[in-house]
Amino acid sequence: MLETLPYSNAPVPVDLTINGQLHQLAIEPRTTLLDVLREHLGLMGTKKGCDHGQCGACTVLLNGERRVSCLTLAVSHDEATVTTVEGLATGDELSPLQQAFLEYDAYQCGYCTPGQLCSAQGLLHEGHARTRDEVRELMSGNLCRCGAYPHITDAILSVLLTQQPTP
Amino acid sequence: MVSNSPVPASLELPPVPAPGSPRRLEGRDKLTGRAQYAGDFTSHLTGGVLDAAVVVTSTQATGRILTIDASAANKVPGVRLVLTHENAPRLHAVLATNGAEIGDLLPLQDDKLHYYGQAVAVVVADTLAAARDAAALVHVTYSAPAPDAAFTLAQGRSRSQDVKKVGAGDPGQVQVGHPDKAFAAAPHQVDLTFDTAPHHHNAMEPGAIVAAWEADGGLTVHLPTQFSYGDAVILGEAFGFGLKERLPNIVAQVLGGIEFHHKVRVVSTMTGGAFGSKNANVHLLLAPMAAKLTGRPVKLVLDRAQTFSMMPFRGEMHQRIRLGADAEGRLQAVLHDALLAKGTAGQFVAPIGEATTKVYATPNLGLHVQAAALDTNAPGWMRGPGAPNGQFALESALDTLAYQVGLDPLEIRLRNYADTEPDTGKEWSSKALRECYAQGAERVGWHQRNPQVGSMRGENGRLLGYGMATAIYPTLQLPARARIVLGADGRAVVQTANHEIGQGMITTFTQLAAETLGLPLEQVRLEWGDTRLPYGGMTVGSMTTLSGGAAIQEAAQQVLKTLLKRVVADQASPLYNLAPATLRVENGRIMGPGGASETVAAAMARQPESPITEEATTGRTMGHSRYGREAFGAEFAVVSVDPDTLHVQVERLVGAFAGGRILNPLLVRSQLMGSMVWGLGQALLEQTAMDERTGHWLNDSLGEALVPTNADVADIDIILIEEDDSRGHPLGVKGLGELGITGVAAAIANAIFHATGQRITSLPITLDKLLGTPLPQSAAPASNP
Amino acid sequence: MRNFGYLRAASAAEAVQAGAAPQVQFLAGGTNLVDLLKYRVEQPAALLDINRLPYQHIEELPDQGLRLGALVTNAATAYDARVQTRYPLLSSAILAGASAQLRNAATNGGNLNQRTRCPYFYDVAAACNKRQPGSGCAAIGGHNRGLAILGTSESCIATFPSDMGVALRVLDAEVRLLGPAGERVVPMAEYHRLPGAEPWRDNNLLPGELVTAIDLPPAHFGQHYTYLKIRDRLSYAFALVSVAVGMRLDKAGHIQEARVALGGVAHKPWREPRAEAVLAGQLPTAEVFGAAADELLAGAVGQGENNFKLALARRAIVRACQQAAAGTPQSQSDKHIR
Repeated sequence: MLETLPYSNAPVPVDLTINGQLHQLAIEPRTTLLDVLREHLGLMGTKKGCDHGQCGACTVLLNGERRVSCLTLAVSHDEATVTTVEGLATGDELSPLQQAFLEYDAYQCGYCTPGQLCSAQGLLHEGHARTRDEVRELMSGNLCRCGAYPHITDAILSVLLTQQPTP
Repeated sequence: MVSNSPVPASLELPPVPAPGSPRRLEGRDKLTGRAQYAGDFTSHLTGGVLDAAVVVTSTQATGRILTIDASAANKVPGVRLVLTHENAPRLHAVLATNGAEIGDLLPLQDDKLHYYGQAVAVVVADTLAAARDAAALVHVTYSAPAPDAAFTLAQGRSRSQDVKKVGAGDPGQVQVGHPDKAFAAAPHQVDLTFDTAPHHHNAMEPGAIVAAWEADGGLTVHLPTQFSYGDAVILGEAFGFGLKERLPNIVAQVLGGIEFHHKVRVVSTMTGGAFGSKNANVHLLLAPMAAKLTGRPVKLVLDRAQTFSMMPFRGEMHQRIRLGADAEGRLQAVLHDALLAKGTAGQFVAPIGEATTKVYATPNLGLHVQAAALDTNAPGWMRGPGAPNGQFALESALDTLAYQVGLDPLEIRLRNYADTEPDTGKEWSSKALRECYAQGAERVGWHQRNPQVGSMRGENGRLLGYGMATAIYPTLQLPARARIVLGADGRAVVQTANHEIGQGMITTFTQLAAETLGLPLEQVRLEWGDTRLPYGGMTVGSMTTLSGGAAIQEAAQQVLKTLLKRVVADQASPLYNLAPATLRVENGRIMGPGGASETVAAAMARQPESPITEEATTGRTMGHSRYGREAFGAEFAVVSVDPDTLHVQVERLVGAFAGGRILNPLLVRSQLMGSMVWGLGQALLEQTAMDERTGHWLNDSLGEALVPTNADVADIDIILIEEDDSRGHPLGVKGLGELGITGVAAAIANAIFHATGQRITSLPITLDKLLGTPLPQSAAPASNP
Repeated sequence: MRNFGYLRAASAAEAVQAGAAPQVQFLAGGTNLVDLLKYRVEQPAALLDINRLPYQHIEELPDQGLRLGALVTNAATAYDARVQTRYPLLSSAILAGASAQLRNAATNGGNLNQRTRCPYFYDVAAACNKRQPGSGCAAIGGHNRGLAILGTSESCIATFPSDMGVALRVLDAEVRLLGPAGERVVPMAEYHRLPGAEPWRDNNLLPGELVTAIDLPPAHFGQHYTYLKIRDRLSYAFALVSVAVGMRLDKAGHIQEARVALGGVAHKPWREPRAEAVLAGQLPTAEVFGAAADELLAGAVGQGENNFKLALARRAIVRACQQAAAGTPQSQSDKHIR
């Protein structure tokens, strides 16, 4: 079939700027962004919890928007900017969200945490969550089996409140 | 882009929980992506090479493998091995702890099928992509499946047999007094049956392992586990390392200070959730088998679907509770019959009924546990393990009795309060359950509710209900050993092979050592999760602090004693010649009477070649105590039920827990909260669906086997009530990791009864179970919630 | 997943020509397709990436309707100010589905073309006529708690899982298609198919055809509407039953027009003119809504595990109609049913 088509399944050049660093890659079309991060670049902070878009552990920021990297084909995002959990802090200084997660104990085993943090960062950026219920609903794409949800919600609300003026 | 709509003024800054408690010491690593789990290993850590392994699982439950055609798989570029029962290394039998499946069934040793999703091949390749490609090309054919296979209790009921011992050795058959006779004679009787669905742990981190054979023939594995020494012994046995002795003997040796010097090393530094699922797993053996044949390090990570069949779960349970009570609601007889599913391989039967024998006073008590071996993978330990199911049944029945007798559900629990341990008559080491009932009731507004069933209305005519149940979990401890080295720099290193599974062990152990040694937290460092370290026991049964913590405290006390002896004998010390008993160490400074003092670092620096090393072992008593030792709590649920759609929402959960001394309120609060979230999931959501024709766990994904999301989780209030349990345990602590789950499903079911009048006796309580039965009319009198 | 060839479509004309070849599939957001590739339910020889085609905007139509570009994401659509104020039903339905991350990736065209969540469709070891024509249907007599009660056939009882599509059905949206033979417009009513004897055909797309836009007619039901989704979990779960309602009431409170569509119960968003005829001209009472529900559910058949959906759907329809009539639509973040 392929012979008759103008397609090749050979590796495709893809440029990705990940945590501020440009990576010029040649990857098979089927490679997910998650596998690019983990298998090709050794950036192991982003976790594979289900590999089917059903847990949110692999959430990263793609051009500033939160996405599940396991269902994102990297080849489709040439020249994109990616931020992973490794890129949230500034040097040794934790981001406000990271600091809030630490203070509110918004995690236990830590495996869902990179996804929770990137998702929460995306949520703040989107600006649609203004209440506790909205934070809970809009963070429901990130499962936490340890059940840290109330603390996760509190941590995010604390950042939301300190970053936004109330009327 | 920030939305224009501002945050409402009513939104207040959430209070920081337990502000004085130390935060997780590994927190920064977890928050920055540096925390390393086994699946995160790269070739840098294994000498430049790390192959990927992918498991192929059976698509049939019974019968035999007829053929395995790996020819196409072997042609995939980069493939190094297709491991099957035909070429796999022969393994020696192992004695796995607590009935884990591999104690009966070693993988890839023959062509027999025992369950759907059983490992039938492992493909190893240079890259994960190549291994996955090849795994999809392994073609397996099977003989006809057994016509009489059974995958559910309904199908396998005829296989039921009495069980002598459940869990780790609790009795499966108990009789105190004459329960049948007393039940028959009781003026009030309740007789209910309960069914609870199987469900899986679904820790966010799937099963994973890195295995590397060393040039000297040794084996090192990195994996998330709750029992590194246990896994090491299994590997030693299976691969014939001349490990002649069984685990109990080995444990006795390592506790005695004899190093575990076998050529097997198990390292487990970060575990992405376990909840009972990570110990003696099948993949523990698969990766080393593969690596042995390829001669190269191998990383094997299960995919999510494989975790359903290659890791354990909470099995299906059927229970019957009979309660007999006198006219005042005092229990005269408690009869608990249970039928539990187990695997054909793996002898685990959850400790069902353990709580029944401890929770309420009754002169006549009967427990009768049976199990039926089904053609599935083996159920195993899962948070609770039997208590949440047993308590769901018992506390639902007790609630029914309360309404029958005309008592408040809280009052019937007080009326049957057990002042001594019911099955033994022993005194309790401590028991502040009355305070739990009182404070929990106060916090939830129990006495302000309208007790009449179906009487309360919330917003939009929703039916409101309040329910409660007792939480109970045994306070046990296992043997553990710890070593503390106080160095010339005045810093201490604490070593014990226990495991960080999210419970906060790193922080608690470090904190405990620092407090005992009188050092600031920053001067103490923990080394954990490695069989090169002293035996740390199993990270199970809410016993981590009780077991390892006690060893650490004792070792720290010995270090302190040695230190003080040393300074008073040291002429260069300002504390020279003082009596050790007059000295105290605080914040890294040794202080004597009259203002004489020096830092620990200064004292130690004078003898740089002589660090102080002490080891201690505790917990040999294995929980046999003069006292009854349980942790208790009172759990309350407020639910609302939409009368039209029967949608149930948990509005609030309140848990008041008596947990002895609380070392780190932050971590304890988090654990109890998570445990209550588990209870909510068990109550309303969690079930793994079995295809009764094939034995396939059909909803083997996180999208279909539902666990709670953030939106599902109610406001959770945790009340901690401190107890003096110093006569129960040297630290005065109790196990709290599992207590929180034990009463939640019952409290929610009881709240649904209060709201609707419907007694739902099966879990999870999905809305279809509320359909088709008349509910209170919306016209009923309104009341204030 | 099996590897495949990859090409970025530079123009729509190129896309529909190349996309007409067998074993070639369009790639948009990928949230469903990549999943199906991983399960090897789909094994195309090549993916044709259409993400750079010019269907990226929401535009005003001359008749005061809106045109939703096929490649606009579900999130951008749901939060678009015009959609939120003029078509709040659509916004609400989109926000009831999936998760924030998935909505950020999933496109409007892809939402219409997503495939069923039947567990046997995903299980390549099981019989499934939709995945493997002629292999049978393991869901019949199997684990079918989430599956269809309306419009089923002997060969398939799958459901169409979209929330957005249910709202589009109520809004009488039109799907704009471009194919090798040119453009055509298909009403939502005719876009999806019932399984019949060809359950592998989810919809009436022809080879190479591409969704370019979804047109929303002016009637938008901005006052009286709701999207009520009933599911086991309060978020991030597919519907057991969902109901989209759009209604217009006259000054006396009579129902001038009502449209009701169901999700989670059939192979397509389910609407029944007879049910809506029952409502027209009536005062909004529970009895009238119940009568409409009975019409809407006429012929519904349970498959065993999902028998409860018959009673649940009836209750949900009545409640959703009440919400719409009262102007108290379901909020997707407040989980209490209004």
